[in-house]
Amino acid sequence: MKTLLFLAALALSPAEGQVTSLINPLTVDRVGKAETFFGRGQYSEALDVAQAALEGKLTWGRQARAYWLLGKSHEALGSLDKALSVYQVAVKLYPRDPGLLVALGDLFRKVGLDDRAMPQYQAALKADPDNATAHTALGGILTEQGLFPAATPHFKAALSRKPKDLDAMLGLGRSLAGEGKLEEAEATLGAGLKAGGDVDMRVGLAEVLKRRGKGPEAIEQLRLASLETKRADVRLRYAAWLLSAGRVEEGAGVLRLHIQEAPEDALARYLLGLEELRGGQKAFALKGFQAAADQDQSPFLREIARATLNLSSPHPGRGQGEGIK
Amino acid sequence: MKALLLCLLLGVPGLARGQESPVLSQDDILREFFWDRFQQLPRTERPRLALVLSGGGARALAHVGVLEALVRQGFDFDIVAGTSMGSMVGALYASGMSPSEIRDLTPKMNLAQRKIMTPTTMFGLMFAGSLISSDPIQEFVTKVLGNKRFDQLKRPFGCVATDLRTGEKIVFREGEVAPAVRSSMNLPGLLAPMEYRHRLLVDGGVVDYVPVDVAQMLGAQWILSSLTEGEITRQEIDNVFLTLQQVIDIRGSLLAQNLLRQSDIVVKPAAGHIGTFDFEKADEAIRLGVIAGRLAAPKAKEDLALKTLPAVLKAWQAR
Repeated sequence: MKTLLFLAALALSPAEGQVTSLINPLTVDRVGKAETFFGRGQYSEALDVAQAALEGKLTWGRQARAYWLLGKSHEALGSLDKALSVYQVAVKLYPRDPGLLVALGDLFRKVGLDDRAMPQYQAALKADPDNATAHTALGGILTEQGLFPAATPHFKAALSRKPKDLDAMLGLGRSLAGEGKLEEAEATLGAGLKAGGDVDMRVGLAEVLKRRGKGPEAIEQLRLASLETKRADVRLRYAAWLLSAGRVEEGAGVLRLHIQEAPEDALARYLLGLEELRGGQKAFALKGFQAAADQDQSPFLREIARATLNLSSPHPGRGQGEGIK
Repeated sequence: MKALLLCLLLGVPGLARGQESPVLSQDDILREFFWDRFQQLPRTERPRLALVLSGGGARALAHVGVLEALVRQGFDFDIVAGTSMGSMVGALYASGMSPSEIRDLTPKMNLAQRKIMTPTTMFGLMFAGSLISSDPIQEFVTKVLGNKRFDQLKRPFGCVATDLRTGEKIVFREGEVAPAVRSSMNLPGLLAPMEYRHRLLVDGGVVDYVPVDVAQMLGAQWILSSLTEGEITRQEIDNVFLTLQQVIDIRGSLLAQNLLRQSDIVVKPAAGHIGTFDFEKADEAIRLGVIAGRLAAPKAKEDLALKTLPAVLKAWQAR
């Protein structure tokens, strides 16, 4: 009799949750469990549990969440193709679930398919006009396309929902800068830095300060940024800005330091070569130019280096330029 | 789907971007460095930059977007030349208007709104064979620019029209701007030819779709052309306007090829699907122009860096 009642209860039980777990401990809130694993970074476990949850009965909302966790776990484990399949199925089942639409959009964006990502974010915003993540992502795509006046309202909408969202603040700063609203951009990026913005916020601020003609302040921000990160691009840019501003000793110092750590860095050697050429150390300069001309990672650098070599060649027969002394 | 799978198979090149903050490449940094150097050069040491704008009707409003993107990147053109709608956009820019000011005016460039293509005029055209007057174009330009002459514009500007009697290309570089722009936009078969200084003038696009040679006449040393070709592969060409549009587009494509070889950089907004008369798609055309201009800017900067390298190095050493 007891067994019969148990089976009847099981058949009539709600899809999942506390009540279910009272009846059958094996079907405890698996989605919640997957969530916990995911939050801890245990993606394989999250994946298994989410998969198992989807095989059982779930309410619609929980099922959508389970798909989301499954897709995100696949992504975290590097299986983007599997994540894509999961999201595509899920979005067909839940075409108005903003979380899934944003996840699919993010995946498209991750692989560089912004044109495929855009409709997902737009659909997410149609379902939930206040979705801050979708606003920020859409603003990001529009910014990359140069459509700044269209991007700015999205970042503002995101910030109205999440005033301390650093991604949205950075996006807004860049978008305003793109629109030419430099004062506003400076204020936004400055506020972003105060709110805990990372090196990109500082680089963004440096770019705006430079455009506003505040050269020394811009360089100082880039100096600070180069201390906050090990990214070569930030350090090389700092050196290039110093050289451009006529602070050649400092610029050359940064480049020499960088070359000690990365002796094969062609851009550093080219820029240092320019400074050496100016300082009369032509033999050193030519070596730097040659190194940049021989690499094939950066086509523009190669072309410029070759042209520079031609112009500064000691052998007029080999060079075609004006023979820079 | 195929593209996505390809990306996945190729190791996901986009992983460095997306929501991650951009990491500049070495070429990006060097381009910025040389662009700074280029802008520091005295005007006399820089080549004279020209902007050449093709025809294309409503589609050519993409030029506004191209211009907007390039100006934001720091480009400042010394010379402007245009044909047809390109002459309208070009004249406004040459007068000193900013791209955003021109953008604000685009709704008023709509032929329907300018009372050119109205039910009455179209009825007259279809049933009485009476071509439509292009007076409203001239009125619009006059309203915006006043009775400005070419030599009163802030940048040297030229535009082209076609003499219907002789087939000659007529280059406007002097005189009043408004009638020149009007004649350059005078679409044959739709708008009535314009009698001007003993010439019977129609759209310049008939003989010169992208007036690179006009920019050269005006002293250009580096030319960026914006070309808004129409898609000439169409399934249905079933009325007089589509036929007219198709003839103009085919002719434009043919004419563009040779002249484009003389451009240093060619920008082609992906606006080919927008028809000559699709003025309701003006915003889309501008948006596509912005995207194309933004994509073309790095290449244009690199080209200028290479072409001004001797001057830049000389100035660098003299510091």
